[in-house]
Amino acid sequence: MFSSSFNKKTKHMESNFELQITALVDTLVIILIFLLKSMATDSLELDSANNLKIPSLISGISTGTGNRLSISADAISWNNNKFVNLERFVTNTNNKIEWQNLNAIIAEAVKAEKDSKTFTGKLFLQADKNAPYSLVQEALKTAKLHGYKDIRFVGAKYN
Amino acid sequence: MKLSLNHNEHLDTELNIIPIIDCFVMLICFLLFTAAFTQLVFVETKLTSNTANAANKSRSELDQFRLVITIKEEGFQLITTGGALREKTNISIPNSEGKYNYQMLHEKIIALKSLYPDRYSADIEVKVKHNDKISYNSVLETIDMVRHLSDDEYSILRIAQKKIHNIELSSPEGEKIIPTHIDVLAHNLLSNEVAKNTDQKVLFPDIALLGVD
Repeated sequence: MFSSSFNKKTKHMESNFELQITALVDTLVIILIFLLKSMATDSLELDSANNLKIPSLISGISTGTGNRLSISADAISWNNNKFVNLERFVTNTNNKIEWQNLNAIIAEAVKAEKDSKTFTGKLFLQADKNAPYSLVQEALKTAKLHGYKDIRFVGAKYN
Repeated sequence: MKLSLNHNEHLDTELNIIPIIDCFVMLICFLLFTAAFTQLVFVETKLTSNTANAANKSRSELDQFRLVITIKEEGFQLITTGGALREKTNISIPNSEGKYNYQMLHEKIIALKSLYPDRYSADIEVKVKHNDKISYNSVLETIDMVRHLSDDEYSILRIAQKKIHNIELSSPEGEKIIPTHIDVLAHNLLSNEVAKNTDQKVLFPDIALLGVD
């Protein structure tokens, strides 16, 4: 009796149950299409600067390369190299030399581009959204002195 | 899987889709890992010394049409001048709850674009007593509002234009409510020879930022 009961328990249960995976495949295909659509195929060739909150934009151009002036809470940088130290967007009175160094590096970059006939007068400005306009204006004046008259203001677009 | 050589018998096969599901799952993981939900973009702006210089600038369009958006402490001011104007505009957009009313600015800009669909330039000027009181974000947001329509507005504009051309709309398109200012813009862009052949997402893309001396 015991043996027959054991055999019953271990006997393979045959059923006509089938896992319906068509719905799963449909979902995966839809997710795949959504991800492919939202994937950015082109991008700005810019390194993300540290300690920088980029403002948002509703639309804009997403391709391009060039020199970059960054303004964060603690520094003004040229192509990711710090030149002017700031303290919560405030310049010190004794950092005149730092501004001179920034001027010199911009002049050097412009000269190199002019020599190689690649100077376009376009500059990327990547500033923190909380930066006071007076500081941005100061940086723009410096850039303008060297011939940069078309400024490309960088922002983030949410897809 | 049953295979039979007998032609009268039914061929019963099952497609093994497990490998393709594996591929899909791996592809989705890869795409999720690499997907960029935010994208770096830029808006291009010219630097112009000051208002007087800009007015004397050899932009022939300025004689015909000039739009100046002034950012003040109390809000925005829109002024249009020039020979091509139907009527001079002087609109003040006061701050709403202590903040700049960008939405109102955007709607007024769309209304101006509807009036002058073949004009593309605008000047932006910051006139505040203390420049450190205004943030870079405020200036950039103003440029953004003046420069172009948002993606949603553009899709609604396209629907409005389809309606004008009596093109059949899909069911989600037909359900969309078209705001009056977008409808007017759609009509006016299509009725203008210059505007109808250019990118209709742009409003006043040729922006000059004044006062950078």
